[in-house]
Amino acid sequence: MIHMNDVTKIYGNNAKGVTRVSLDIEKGDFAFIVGSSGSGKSTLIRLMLKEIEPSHGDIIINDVVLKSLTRKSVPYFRRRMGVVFQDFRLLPSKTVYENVAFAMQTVQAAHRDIRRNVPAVLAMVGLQKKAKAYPNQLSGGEQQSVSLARAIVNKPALLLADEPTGNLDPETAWEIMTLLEDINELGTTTVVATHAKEIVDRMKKRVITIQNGMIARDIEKGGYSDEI
Amino acid sequence: MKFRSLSYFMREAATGLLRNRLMSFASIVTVMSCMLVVSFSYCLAENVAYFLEQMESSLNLSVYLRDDVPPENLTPLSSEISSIPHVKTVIYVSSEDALKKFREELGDDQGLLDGIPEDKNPLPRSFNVALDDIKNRDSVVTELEGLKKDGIEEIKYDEQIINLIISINNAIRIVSVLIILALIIVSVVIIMNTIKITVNTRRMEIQIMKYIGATDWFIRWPFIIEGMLIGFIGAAIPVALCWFGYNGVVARIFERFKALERLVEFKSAPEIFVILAPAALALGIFIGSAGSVSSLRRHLKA
Repeated sequence: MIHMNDVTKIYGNNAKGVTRVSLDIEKGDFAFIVGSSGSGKSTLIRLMLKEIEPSHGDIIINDVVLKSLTRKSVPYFRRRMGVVFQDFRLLPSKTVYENVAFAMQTVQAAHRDIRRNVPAVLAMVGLQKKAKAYPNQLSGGEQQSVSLARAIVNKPALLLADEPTGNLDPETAWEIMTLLEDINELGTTTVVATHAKEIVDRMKKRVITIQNGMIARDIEKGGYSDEI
Repeated sequence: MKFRSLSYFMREAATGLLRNRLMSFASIVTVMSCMLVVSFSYCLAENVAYFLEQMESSLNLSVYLRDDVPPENLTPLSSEISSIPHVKTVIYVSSEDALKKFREELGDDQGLLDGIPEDKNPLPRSFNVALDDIKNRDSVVTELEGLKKDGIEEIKYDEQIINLIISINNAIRIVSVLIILALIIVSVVIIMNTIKITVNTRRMEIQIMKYIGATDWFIRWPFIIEGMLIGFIGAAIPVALCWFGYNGVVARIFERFKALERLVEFKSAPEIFVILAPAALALGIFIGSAGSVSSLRRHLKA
């Protein structure tokens, strides 16, 4: 699903994003990318979204070679992945239902499909009763659930989450992680960048550790601070 | 553009307009004032051109005939003159008509002519020749010169007035085109700024749309429609105001300057607005969408 080969990203001010990263994440996998802030986690996520270009190396996602992707075809590439951020990024002027429906309108889905899929995803994240609420009427955990619902409503093959629990208390964070696990079990390849140590330790999933822009460890069913 | 997206675009554009009510209102007002001046200068320029046209056409050539031309030659000569290119009408003025007109022009002083006996009218017969456009005067005069052998004695026209009118007309056209161009540029800049603010308040939305996989055009359309609406409303209101106010203003002018009524005629409102209304609306819509597209450019990179 994700194949990175010797990828280096150097930012304009000579600051290194990541250095010589090679990794493979198979279809249906669940993987954590862990590391302290500034270690390069977000750079990896942004590279996978083709938001930034690598300075060197190849990235292949969903059988698409990213560097051969034209500007025009980037939107169609992104339709096959869902993204979740630390700050939720919901539209404050739209209701929960509209926020999720927005993702389907954006890809010009049929009204019939929107009316069928949106309530189904909201039920999956447990928010069917809050469909008419606005984001500022929801708790942080609920807002992140809406954001998750929006990310998966178009049935992406790959779900990328960048610090999804960074703004949440531990209990809510755990609920969100469980949701991510549920989504993964339905077949969506899931990559979560985080530094939530307790959760990573509890989940017993694959853990890729980034330090100073380089892969320090890559352990199946690992924990946050497992030694090499 | 898929059809089902159209209603979405329209809704989004309307939401954008309403959400930034103050900015939308401000830019509509600015576009309105620009378009009001544009419409006003257009009406003014059109009418001045029209006045000059009326004056021009009243400046006919007078073709005086020799006294020895027999009356039966008048009709063939008249049709010969009529067949010269650019000649619009040829009117025969007999000595009696000329005298009568002279008397009228003298008004209270016509007693001066009392000494002239009826059968000794000193005024020559003439043709009053009207042209389709005063610019063609020289070619017509050359042709008339060629007819001198048939009894034409002299051709008269007032060259100075004619040249003055042509140059005034040209100057007014140039000035009004410059004013209109300057105001169009001002309007585009103002709309660009408004849409830039709308785009800025919605940059998170644009960002999310890009993550979800919206195409550039899908992101652009609501903003373009919003700009078009601003431009359309900003053009429609002043054009409507000018249209409804036009006849009133013309009536006022005649009321104030009664003498004008006999001299000139204004263009009718339909004559002016058949061009002005669609042109102003198209211009407004163009200004609005151009402003939108250019302010979105930065946000759509990568």
